[in-house]
Amino acid sequence: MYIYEKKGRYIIGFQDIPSARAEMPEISVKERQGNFKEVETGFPEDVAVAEAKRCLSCRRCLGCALCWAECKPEAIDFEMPDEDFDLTIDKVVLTSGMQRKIAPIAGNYGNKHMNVVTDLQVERMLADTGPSNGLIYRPQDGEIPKKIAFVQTFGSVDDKIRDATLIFGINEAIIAQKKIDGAEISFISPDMDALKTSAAGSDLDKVSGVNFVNGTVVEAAEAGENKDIEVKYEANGSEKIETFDLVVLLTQPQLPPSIEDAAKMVGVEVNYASFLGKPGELVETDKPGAVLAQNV
Amino acid sequence: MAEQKVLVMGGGVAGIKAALEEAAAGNKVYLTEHFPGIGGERIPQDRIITDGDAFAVPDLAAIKENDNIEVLTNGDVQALVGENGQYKVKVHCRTPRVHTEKDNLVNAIRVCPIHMYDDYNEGLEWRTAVDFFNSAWGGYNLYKEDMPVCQRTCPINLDIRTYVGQIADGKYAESLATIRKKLPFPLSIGRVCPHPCEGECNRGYMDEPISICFLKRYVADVEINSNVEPKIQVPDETYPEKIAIIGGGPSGLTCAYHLALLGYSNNITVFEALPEPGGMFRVGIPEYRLPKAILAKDIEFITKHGVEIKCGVRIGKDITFDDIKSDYDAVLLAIGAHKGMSMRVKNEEAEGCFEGVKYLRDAGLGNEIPNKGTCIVVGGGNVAMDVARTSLRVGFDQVNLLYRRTRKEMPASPWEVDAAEEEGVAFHFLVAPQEVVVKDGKAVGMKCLKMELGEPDASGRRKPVPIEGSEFVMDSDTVFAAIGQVTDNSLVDEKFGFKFGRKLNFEVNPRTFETNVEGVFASGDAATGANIAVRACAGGKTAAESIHKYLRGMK
Repeated sequence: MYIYEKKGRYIIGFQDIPSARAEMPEISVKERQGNFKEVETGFPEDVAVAEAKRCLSCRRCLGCALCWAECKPEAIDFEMPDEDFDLTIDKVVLTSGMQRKIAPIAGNYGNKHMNVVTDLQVERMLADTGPSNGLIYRPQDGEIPKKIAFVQTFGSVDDKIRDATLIFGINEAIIAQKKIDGAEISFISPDMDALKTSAAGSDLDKVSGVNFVNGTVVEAAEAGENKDIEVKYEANGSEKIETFDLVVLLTQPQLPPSIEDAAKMVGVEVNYASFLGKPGELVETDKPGAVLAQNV
Repeated sequence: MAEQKVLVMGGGVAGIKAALEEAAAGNKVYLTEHFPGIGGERIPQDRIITDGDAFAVPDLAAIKENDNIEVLTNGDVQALVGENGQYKVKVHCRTPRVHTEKDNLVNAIRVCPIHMYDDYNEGLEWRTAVDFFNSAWGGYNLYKEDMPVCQRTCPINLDIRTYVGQIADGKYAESLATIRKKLPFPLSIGRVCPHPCEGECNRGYMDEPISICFLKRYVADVEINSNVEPKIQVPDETYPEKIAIIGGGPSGLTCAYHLALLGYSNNITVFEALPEPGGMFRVGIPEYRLPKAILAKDIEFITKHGVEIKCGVRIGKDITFDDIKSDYDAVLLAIGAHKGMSMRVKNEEAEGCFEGVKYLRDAGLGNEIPNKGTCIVVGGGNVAMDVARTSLRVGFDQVNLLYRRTRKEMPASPWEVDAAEEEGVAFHFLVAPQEVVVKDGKAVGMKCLKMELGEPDASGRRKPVPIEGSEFVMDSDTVFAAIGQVTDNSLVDEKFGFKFGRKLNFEVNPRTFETNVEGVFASGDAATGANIAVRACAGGKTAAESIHKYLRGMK
């Protein structure tokens, strides 16, 4: 039996329910030669039933009414309808939101491992309104990490987007470094040298306690009983291996589909970089009444 | 200046600042936010922080106090039309199902038995179905989806949770019936679907996603293995209108099936140009992935619903489109995308060069096909994989696949790429074809250029750039181009004025699949451009519903 613990609550993995997904049986490569026999042979019954039992039957609110019984009358109204508004407006202000491309992170960055998190997850950890009240922790055991690596996961993007994403990560490193006594933080990016020479990186030399590495991560893998993360990276022409308590992946920003759709409907072309001008400024577009609120 | 009405989209720090500024300028502001709450502090990304300014914190109190700002949480902008500073906007706000002012809901969170992916906190924790988004704002919300995420992702909206649950309970016939409420091809789709649903499966956050596609295959296989005759149920009373469906593939046959269920049984005629029905299921997907005998079972189930399939009838040749249009009350064009795209290299018309799709079609129909020596397959999609794996089976000694980017960028399903490699297809990445080398009028090889990856292009993939002076020749007896398919729309005359898209597909209303010609609908690849089979089926189902509405004047 395995137990997933989250927020003092548990999810049980039952003995009769496998955690690994069923594999489709196939005929061997040799048996396929010179014929068109079906390659995949189908699940046997026991495998199919066990696989079907793995389904979590997602339904979100089940309508169990436990919350309703717990609250004052009418505080929870299961019948409350959706609402639609028809508005006539003179101006629409678009914002970039904060959304990241999760899917394209290559497997070598180890994003399936428990102690590998994304920059947006760390932002929630560091926030006072976040789930851990501002504490940075390892998801696997809840321990405070001492050795942390920030790692860039995306290749060439628009310079503005690159700088914004790196500075976002650097700020997280600075906050983490202040919050954790004796923290050792490495920041690995193939664009570190480029950032240093750009205007956005002019304050970099004022940052202390963060080890900036102009390098590329080859692989991040789980190591040892504590599920620490072993990071193999290339810097200055040589390959290094270092073990970290927590690895933070810097991810590529993208606009939420709602904003992309709205921009299309208005007829303005935007990407994430369109929102990275002077902070807080409202920038007019070539369509009258369509304005882009620059990120703060 | 008179008071303006302003819509601000996005309740983040920037949106809140913009809303306050617009309100201060005397304007009426609507602030929409997808989540049930607004705000939340953010780490800046425009400057390196110094002491005291670690987070940018939005002024939520000012928003609450300001009567000129209306906050529409749980809200999505569904339409935004107009120009020159005058827009009409439709905002849909999902119900929170909670009256926050009537009670503090902390206890509700404590007792809620649901622990779902915490979209409020980037999945760091589990959250309950009743929860708040941001403690500083409140924004309690009782979250009930219309459907689970797998079902929402499925193009034809299969009730996956129900049919998988029925398998877990051993109720296989019931499970299959659940699938067939929407999809008449469980045997076929259960084998060939690239299953976008599994990519979204919530169990994937925990360990690995449910094997949804193969479970569908399992229950469908149970029926044929146990020789059970599926029950056929169509309405006793039928409508009199006659419907012609051109194309007997996934989309056309799914449309025919749903029209039968809607009450047009025995009034539906499917015209198929090829000698056998099934479309791409039969002549695109090779036997080793979907045996023809299996496909025939799905098709038999459909025809038993009162659907007539006339094979070997090519519209535009055997019968004119005019005749079809005047003889039937509604027409569906579901002719797929069966024409291979050109590689646009020199000599590709030479003997020994073939369209990959035509090769698969000939193989599927049992026609004579090239099968000796060495072949080159150009392309990185699933059709290229099918061509390469078929070539190995029919007897080519060596199959070389050329793709101009790397394995990572290949659009083919990764498991298809792995299988092709296991079976012995030789992959050559970062290689682009330049010119077919011809001797005595026959292809003998391909002149190629090596590539490297440059900057990302519009699709987000890094664009391959040729390496100068890297030309080389790869010997080959046969060359297959598998770089995409378009629709052969030559069956309709220009006089009808059909509008066509980039892939020569029929342009349709994406909601109803109606073309710009009255009474004529189009679905499947013929409407969307080459796409996955289940999306073609989904289009066929929607087209059936639209045809029904059209014929019943329910528009």
